[in-house]
Amino acid sequence: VPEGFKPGPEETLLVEVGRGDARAFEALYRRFARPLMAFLTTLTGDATEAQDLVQETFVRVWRAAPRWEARGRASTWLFTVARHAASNWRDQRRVRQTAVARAEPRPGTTSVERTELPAALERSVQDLSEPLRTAFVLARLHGRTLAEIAEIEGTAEGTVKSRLAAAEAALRKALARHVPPHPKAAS
Amino acid sequence: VNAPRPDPETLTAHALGLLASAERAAVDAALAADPALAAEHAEIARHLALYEEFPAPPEPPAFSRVAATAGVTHAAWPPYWARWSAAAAVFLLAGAGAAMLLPSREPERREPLAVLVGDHVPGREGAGVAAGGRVEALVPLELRIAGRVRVVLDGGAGLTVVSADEVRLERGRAYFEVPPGAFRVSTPRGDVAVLGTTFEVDVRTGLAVTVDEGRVRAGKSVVGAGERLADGKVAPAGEIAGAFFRRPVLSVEAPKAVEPGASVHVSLVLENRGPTPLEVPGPETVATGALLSLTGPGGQVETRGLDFAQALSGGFDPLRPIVLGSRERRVVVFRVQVPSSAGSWRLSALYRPQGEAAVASESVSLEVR
Repeated sequence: VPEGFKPGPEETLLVEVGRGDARAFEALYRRFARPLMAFLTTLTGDATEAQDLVQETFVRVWRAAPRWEARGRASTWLFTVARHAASNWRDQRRVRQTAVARAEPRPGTTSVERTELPAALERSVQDLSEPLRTAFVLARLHGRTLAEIAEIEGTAEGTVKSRLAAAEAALRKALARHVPPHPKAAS
Repeated sequence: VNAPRPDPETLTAHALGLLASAERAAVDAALAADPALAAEHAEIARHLALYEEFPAPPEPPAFSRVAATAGVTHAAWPPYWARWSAAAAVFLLAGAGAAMLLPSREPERREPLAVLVGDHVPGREGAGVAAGGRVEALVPLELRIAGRVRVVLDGGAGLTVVSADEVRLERGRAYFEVPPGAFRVSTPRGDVAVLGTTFEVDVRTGLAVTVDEGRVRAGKSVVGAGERLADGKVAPAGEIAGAFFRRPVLSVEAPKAVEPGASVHVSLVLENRGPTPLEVPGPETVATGALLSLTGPGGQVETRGLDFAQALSGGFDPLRPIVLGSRERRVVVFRVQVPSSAGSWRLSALYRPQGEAAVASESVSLEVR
């Protein structure tokens, strides 16, 4: 149990879901569907797959919520469930597509209307290895703490720190031309 | 005083706002004392600021789609109804029995004809279905009729409990275990009369009846053990991809006696010795005991207390069907309530082969500890 942790509204909601409350389930979905969609889209690089995984995540949540105990953040558990769903998806895809080194994003994942920077950001994140990508996305795009990421990833906080530093360095290199110049260097 | 130079990992964590206050203060001090370090930190921060422009995600799927898949009924229903039916993952529709199906604040005055079996969703266990009550299974679930007939409904199946001796399968597929005695399954495509047997009825595309044990009469045809009626013709069943099959797989002497009613763990080693993958149903049927049924000297042993933690440690995802590749072995641990452990135990497994080819054999060993 995280130090000083007290169950909040999200944890209460999840407990209600565990009791079979359909309204609570819908409220939980409204609260977390978009963050998880963002997380899974970035993780998979495929909007259609991410939609399926969001669905699978919440199906798992509905079924497993009766066994969830409010000893940690509901959000951390939801991201963990989503992470496992994505992991299974990746394993299955690996079996299906052994000949394909890396699946190309489906149409709709990247849009020609997008400006160059957002597309470059998305592309560079996709190019990271999965452990680095997951840690970075959770930290930078979802504001998760080191402890939460460690729990979601099932690893140590030190490992998460290392992954974040490695991800940041790789991304900065990939996006070098987009990083604004240092004020002193520019002047 | 020179502050220690933070390593790159700590610097990145600081820029991401992930450090606790003490560590953050230490890094702040180091940055103040070291302009080169501050420049390095600023570059990381500028890079991280770019992600404000990260593309917005696509829309998640509609809640109704997710709810339907999860077996949650529409939340607009009255709370008590929604709670009950969502938990049950079934719709029990109107008719004479509807009042019996709603959670009542008063004790029920008569026993329902059938009960839903399963404790994996709270509120679902023991929900009653009266005469005329209808069950629509959005996920596989088990129904006991009059305490004697076991029905495993596949996801998508719709069934009405007509009486203790008759059900009407309107849609989908269901597996039946009927002890000796008359029983009838009526369907829109013909009736199946039973005299004690185990069989599957599938009305998804015409009437198909697959018999495991015993015999049934379907229209003018008699279908025997190991046979399948489809397209009006009876032929050897083989093992049809996606169909339920139950096979006795083991008969053992319990290694030691335990007190009746005691909770014991049963370790099962599943091994697929066949050449094709073997799929056993997912947690819905695991939870209802339909996956593996144990019969001990005291009768049917309830296997619904699957120890998920241990099952998970055995490599199982409780939310997915268990797929055993060819020659693959897995261990799963059940926690069961035993009426008595002395004497012979019979174990049978319900499974669905994935491919067209038959599964050659499988073995299960049992250990009471």
